[in-house]
Amino acid sequence: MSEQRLQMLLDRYLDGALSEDDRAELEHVLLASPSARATFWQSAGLHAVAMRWGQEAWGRRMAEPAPATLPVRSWRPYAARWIAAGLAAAACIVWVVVSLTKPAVVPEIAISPDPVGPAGVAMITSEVEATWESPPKSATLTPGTTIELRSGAALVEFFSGARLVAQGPARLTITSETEATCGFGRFSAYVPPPARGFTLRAGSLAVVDLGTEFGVNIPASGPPEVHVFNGAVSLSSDGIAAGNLSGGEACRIEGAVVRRLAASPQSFLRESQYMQLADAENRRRHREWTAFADALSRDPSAVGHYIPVAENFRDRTIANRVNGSGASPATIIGCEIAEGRWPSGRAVEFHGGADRVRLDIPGGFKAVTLLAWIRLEEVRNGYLALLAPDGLAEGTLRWGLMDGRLRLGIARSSGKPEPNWEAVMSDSVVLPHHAGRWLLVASTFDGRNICHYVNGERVKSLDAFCPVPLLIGPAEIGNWRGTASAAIRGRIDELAVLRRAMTADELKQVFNAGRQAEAPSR
Amino acid sequence: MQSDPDSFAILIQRLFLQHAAHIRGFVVALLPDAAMVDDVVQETFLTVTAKAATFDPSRDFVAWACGIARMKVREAGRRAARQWRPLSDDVIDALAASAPPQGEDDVRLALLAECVGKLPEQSRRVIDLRYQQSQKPEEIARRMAWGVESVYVALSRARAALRQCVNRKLAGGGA
Repeated sequence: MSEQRLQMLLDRYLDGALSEDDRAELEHVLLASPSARATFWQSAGLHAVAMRWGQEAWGRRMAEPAPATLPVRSWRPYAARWIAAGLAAAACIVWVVVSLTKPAVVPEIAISPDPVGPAGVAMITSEVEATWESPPKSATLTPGTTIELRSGAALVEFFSGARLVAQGPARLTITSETEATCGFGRFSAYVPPPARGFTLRAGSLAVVDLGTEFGVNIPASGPPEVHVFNGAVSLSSDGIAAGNLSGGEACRIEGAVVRRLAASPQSFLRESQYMQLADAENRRRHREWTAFADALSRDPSAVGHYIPVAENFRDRTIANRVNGSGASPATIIGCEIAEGRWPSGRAVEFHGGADRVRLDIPGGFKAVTLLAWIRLEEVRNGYLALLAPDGLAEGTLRWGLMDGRLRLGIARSSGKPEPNWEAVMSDSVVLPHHAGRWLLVASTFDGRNICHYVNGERVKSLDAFCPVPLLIGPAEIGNWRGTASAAIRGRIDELAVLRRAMTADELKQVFNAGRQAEAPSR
Repeated sequence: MQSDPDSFAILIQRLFLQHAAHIRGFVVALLPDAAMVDDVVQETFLTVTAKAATFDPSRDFVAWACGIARMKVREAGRRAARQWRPLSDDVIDALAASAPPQGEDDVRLALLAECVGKLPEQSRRVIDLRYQQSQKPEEIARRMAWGVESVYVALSRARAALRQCVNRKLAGGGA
């Protein structure tokens, strides 16, 4: 076997990407050849040292204060509030019968065609301290979409491979995978070879990348400038060629005059610096989220708060962070460990089948909030169970996703063994483009309304008739009685149950505290 | 030697800590997935401590501890069968028998840090994502808007560059 092939197989092994045939080939050569084994140890040795380096470097960065290049946004810590006792006592016992809405009985599971995602050509993959004048409406950007940053910075990745760092205030219109138009602002572009020819337009000016890195400054008033950091670009104005610029060169276009300058890369936010800021932002968010999660666990109305950590996967138990609520620890059945939202955090990974997490939340509730940070590897139709109690008694909750809609069902007695389920569903809000991305899903009931939220945005609110008390009891997360049909495929790295309905503002705070530097998406 | 079990247990723990980087490196080689390495090393430590009294001090501590680590790796493999398949037992045995001796882990760590600093930007980025942020290649592909194959290639190249750089420095070369 050639040295290159062996090295390739070893790299695949280290990255967990060996096919069956590759594995057999690698094992064969490792058994047969002492020099292959020596190469194995060299590669594995570097991998081990790199892991150590990575952990230590990350740990050091976590402890650093964030670099103060962009204005630092102050963050108010989560403040615990709770409903006045009087309100709780009065409103919940007497139920308002909503005459208009008959309780909705769950129909047979009707499989509608899979929701079709938008045909995007670019995505905003991260933002740093960004405030938006015109925020992106969806995770992927379709041709013709205009986004406007008021301040901060964002990274737009075109599916051709080209990347643009936009520094606010800036306006950008996406034309295609390989073209965009700048309304105004400062942009720096990094164009790898596959995306060569990427074009940035501003007014009558067109800048065509010939590889690799350039910046464009379009002030709101004043002449535009093009600076080339690496490689070359070709310029044209109103379709007429105006020459090329190479690395280190720049020009300012004053009407018909192209004035040559020296490039000043330091006046642009280039991708490498942007990435450092984005990483610092992530570290800051991790710290803030840790404090926020602690406060949530201490909320007087918290019943259960579960956040998996590495140790949990040894004894297959996740502790309830809320003290004295009576809710049990959660038991992991089948599920495996995976990375969570944060590099040092963990998530429970469900592969469908019989994977589930079981817990017991005793007691009756007059109001409830269920929230979870989930990441679905596939968004499929049918019912996906988020929280499914074993019991069927009147008042039992059932929380899940049906065809991409958030659904909270409450059991009502029907005189038969199977109860009627009164359910409130949102519109289809969990879509294929959410696959592989962390989402905050939440549903609340305040005694009168069921509300659904995705990423802190309310997506549904409806009156509901609900008998008291609401029950959970012994229940499963991610599955329903171990039946494969309701099983999720994905990860959960936080779940909380509170005995009150959190407000839209609070859930927005939960979202802002827990999301990474990726752009919020719907 | 075993007249004082408590101080012997402490001695064993000290030995473990002294050789922790090497034992950890051994586990990583057989279990390259970062998420699982910590648990296995922890379990190995606990078992080594629990079995302290059975360790014969005339034996090689590292070999003994790595034998326990191997068992733990196998157990982890059974638990996480879907997610990760370990190499087969006879391959692991052959590898274990040819494991290089302990050495210079801290030196390598410092050299690696220098060598990472010399990587071209894209390689640096991919290495940061893989090892600092513990992201899997699919994640890296998403973040960099690359195909996953390109990520594998980039990781291979970066690792090769790092290996050469570290070896050059170890051999006493300059830059």
